[in-house]
Amino acid sequence: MGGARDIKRRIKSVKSTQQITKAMKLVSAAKLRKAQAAVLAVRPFARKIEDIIVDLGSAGIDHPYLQERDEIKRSCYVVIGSDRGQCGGFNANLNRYIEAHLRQAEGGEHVLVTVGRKVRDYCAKRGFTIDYDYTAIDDNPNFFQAQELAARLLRDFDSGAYDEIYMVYSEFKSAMVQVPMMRRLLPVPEPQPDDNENIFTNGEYIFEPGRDEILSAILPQYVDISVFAALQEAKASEHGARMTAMSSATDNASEMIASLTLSLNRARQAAITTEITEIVGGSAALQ
Amino acid sequence: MAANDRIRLEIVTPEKEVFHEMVERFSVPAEAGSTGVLYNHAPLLSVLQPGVLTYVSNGAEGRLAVGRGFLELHDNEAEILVAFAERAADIDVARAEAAKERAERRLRERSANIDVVRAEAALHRAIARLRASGKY
Repeated sequence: MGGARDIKRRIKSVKSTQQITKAMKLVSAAKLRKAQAAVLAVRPFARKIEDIIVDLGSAGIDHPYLQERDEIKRSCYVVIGSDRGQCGGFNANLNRYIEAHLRQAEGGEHVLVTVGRKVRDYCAKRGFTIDYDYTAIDDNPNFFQAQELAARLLRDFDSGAYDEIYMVYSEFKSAMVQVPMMRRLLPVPEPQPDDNENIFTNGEYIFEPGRDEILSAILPQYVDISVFAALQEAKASEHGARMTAMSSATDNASEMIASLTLSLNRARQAAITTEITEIVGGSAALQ
Repeated sequence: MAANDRIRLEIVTPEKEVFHEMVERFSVPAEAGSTGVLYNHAPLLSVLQPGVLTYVSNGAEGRLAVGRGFLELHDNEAEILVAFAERAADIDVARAEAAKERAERRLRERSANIDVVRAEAALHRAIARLRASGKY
């Protein structure tokens, strides 16, 4: 019976696929650990800058980056996905999220800046306007890459090309759960005042140079750091999603091998039984 | 100066904490020029420019190249948030020199598709690193 040889071949192929998925899972797990550490590293920095902005902002200091524009002519969405697939629903969820948002968005023009090949391809195919796209962001995004993107966004916000800028990316809840979400980058959302008193504006601090200048210097850096944090969070989500996807692929392969082995044994047994019946039948015919 | 008259100096970049030590004094590249900080300095919030940060710890002087950022100081605890920071000993002089030349060339040529802001930032970064390493 030829079935046994086919089944053997399939088992071999599933096994080699399983080796690949297993390796990918381990690699993603290692990268995820690194990405998670990076996400944590950026938090104290971001929090400190937020504290300063909250304090200076609540002292009645204003700045173009804090003001809502009266007329929103052009909104920009920075969508951060991944270059590579094999990460479950990571990109698909993000794509669905932004598509749903754009389909029901009203008023003014809505344009995209995409990070990652998958999002770009999906949105381009559906005819959304993509102003520019970034690909090949490192597995550990570095701050200079974030600054580059942030500088470009700030320039377009300054020039009036965009009246508001949102960032869309997957929030990292856990290795299993990543949820697409949207955050406004510019104008900088009114920061939530926390319970600490205004440590910087209680009159004790010397400001070098003045308060206004400090706010003007700090807001672009806040944008840099927000972009950086988003890139890192998206990377952590990507690695988490890939790890989970590869883990279940490895499990599925094990299951498949088990059921194929069962069929193989059955086929072999059937072949032996047939052979015996033939021999017995043959010898009976001779007698 | 009493032995325990020290300032806690922390230097943080978005990527990691670069420096965390008790120092006797330090000076930072503020907008108006290099600003020195001694024990019991008044609370201060200051904008920093790319440049060289020096500190004295146990009588020995150390230097770091730092990028754009902030200094926040109160109660002898200084927190410095900068885009990048590198200890003088870790700076690769040859690489910094190459980066400086590259940035200068870009700025000189001013071809249409270069990003001036980016080239200038790269130049400042390279100069800060070279100065911190004592060459320049």
